[in-house]
Amino acid sequence: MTAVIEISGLCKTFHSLWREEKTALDGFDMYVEKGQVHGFLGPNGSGKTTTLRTLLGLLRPDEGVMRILDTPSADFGSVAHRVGAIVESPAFFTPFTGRKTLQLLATAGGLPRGRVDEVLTTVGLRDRADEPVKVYSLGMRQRLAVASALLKRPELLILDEPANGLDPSGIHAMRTLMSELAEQGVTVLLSSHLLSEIEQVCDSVTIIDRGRRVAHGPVSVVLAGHDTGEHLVRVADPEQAAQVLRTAGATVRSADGVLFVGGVSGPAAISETLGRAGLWVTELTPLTPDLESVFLDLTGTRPAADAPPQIAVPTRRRPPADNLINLDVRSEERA
Amino acid sequence: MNLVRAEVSRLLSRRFTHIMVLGLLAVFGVTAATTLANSTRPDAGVWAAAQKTAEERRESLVRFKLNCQEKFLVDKEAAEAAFPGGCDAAGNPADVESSRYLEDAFVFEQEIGGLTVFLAIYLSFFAFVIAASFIGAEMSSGGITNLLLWRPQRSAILGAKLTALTGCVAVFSALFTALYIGTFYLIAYTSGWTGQPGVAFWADLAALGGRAVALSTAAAASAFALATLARHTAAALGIAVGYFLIWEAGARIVFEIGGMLPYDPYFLSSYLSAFVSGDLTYWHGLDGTGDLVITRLSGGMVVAGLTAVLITAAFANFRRRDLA
Ligand SMILES: Nc1ncnc2c1ncn2[C@@H]1O[C@H](COP(=O)(O)OP(=O)(O)OP(=O)(O)O)[C@@H](O)[C@H]1O
Ligand SMILES: [Mg+2]
Repeated sequence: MTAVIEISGLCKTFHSLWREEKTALDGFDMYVEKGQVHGFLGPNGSGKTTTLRTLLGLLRPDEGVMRILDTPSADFGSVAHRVGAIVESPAFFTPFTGRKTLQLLATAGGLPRGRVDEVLTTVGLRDRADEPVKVYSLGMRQRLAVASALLKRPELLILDEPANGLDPSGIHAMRTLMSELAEQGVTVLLSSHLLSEIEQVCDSVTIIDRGRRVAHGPVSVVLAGHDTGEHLVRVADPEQAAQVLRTAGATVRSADGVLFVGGVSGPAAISETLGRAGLWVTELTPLTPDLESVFLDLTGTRPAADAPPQIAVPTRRRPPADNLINLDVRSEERA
Repeated sequence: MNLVRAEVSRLLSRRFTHIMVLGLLAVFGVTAATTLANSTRPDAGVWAAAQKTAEERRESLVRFKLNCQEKFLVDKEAAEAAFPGGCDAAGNPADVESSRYLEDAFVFEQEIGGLTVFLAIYLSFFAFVIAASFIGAEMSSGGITNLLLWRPQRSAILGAKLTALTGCVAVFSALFTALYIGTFYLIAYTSGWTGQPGVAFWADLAALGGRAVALSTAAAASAFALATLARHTAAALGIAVGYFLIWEAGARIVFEIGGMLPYDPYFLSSYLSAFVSGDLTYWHGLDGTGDLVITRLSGGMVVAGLTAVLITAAFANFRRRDLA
């Protein structure tokens, strides 16, 4: 497998005369393979957009190595025609119509006119293409942005929160589009907060928190890394059942008359142990982690009962840690 | 080329550009209308009166000269004190034209020069504001980054914008200057007096018009550079207003009070004025000898040099900096 995006040790600090400096990226690494749909996750302000901007040559990195389509990022200009990108919600020139906006980009990039109509249809704007962008709704502007990224038939598509403002049908269409593009061999880097979407469409993910990578790899592997092997068990007499299971060597937590059982070889072992004791299981579900719970744990943003979690202040921590290639996602201590 | 064409259509479809052009037309309309309202076609009576006044003036000039020459013959030193400029200082009687004394008539030949200088000032003002807003809006909204994702060549993108802007301003200013001069000629022709403009007159007027176009183009380029450097329309306008208020007005008063003369070379406006309306004499020395002059050429060089410095700084900065 060849890498389409390789980032290592990327650092970026924003300096300002009248504000504190902000370290948005603090030794960040990312590796996206060809043909993947790669999810890019992280809490608000964790550095996703900064990473993409740097990758696309809009920001100058302080440190680190970046390669895009096998080209050092300093030469991004030579591969730009193969990369379609939207970064945050792009600002369009609102007096122009959607069609004209795309046509100007198409001429700037030397593309045939017919391509504009194709992408307008793809994103569902065909019938509204001749209205000025001024009158577009949020989701319509977002669709136009996606259209502009698709225009060049890119080999690499970089989308920063493309689903922002899209309606359910738009999100569904986006998901279908991603899989179609993946089938055609397009590599997609997708930043999003819609974890269930990411879980459905992405082959692999990178999770960033406060400017550093905290997890990466195929979705299934990341999830498996967080599988506690617990099962949810419902029985008529939970107290007795807990005792029986503990005697059999399992770990048991109980809450609201439901048992969470770990340390067993599988569901069969649980039902067998309880059945022998004359306790009949009414519900038995393996607790597989989903991306959301993994995300919340890794980034420490799980909502607490007492106070809403706050956005982290981006300051430089210790010198960049050696980023481990394994999936020991807990290796990073919380500062 | 495609980039430039795209930028031209961007510039021309901006609401702000439209409003500013309407403003420009309004100023022009008011000037032309007041001129028209205050001018009537001189009839035979008016001509006769003007010829009479001119004749009186010629006679008085001749008398002045004779009187002066007489004094010089009698007592040279006293005469030199009384007539420091010599006997021809008041003017040559042959130069006195009757058309100068026409009552209530707009005389094209005499007034178009001043009117064109006025045009140069307000064309430059509008060009400055349009240019600052054209690039400032892109810089602060991030519209330019959108284009950079397509063509990650910052100098080319900024260059296309600058070319489109200065090209449009130059073409528009040239057409507008022609329309302006043409309109006043027509006013003079229909309800005033055109005078008898010769080839030399038209050549001078064309050069003045050319300088008006050049000045407004330079104003646009400077505003473009300032707004690029400061990243906002308002910042560019603020710098301009600040300069004129604090330096041109404020510092001038301080110089005046402090008696620090001559101060003219420290003000941009001196060079602008020299460039547009001709050599600016600003100092006769303490004993009234040895004029100091800002020539048209040095005025033009200051305008060109300042514009070039600003543009160079803007490109150098834009090539390197972080774009949000
Ligand atoms: N131009 C800037 N100047 C100063 N700080 C900045 C600038 N741009 C971004 N930052 C800071 O860098 C950090 C990372 O921002 P970034 O936009 O990359 O976050 P993000 O992961 O894209 O967040 P979101 O999910 O909200 O889009 C934030 O703390 C932000 O405040
Ligand atoms: Mg973002």
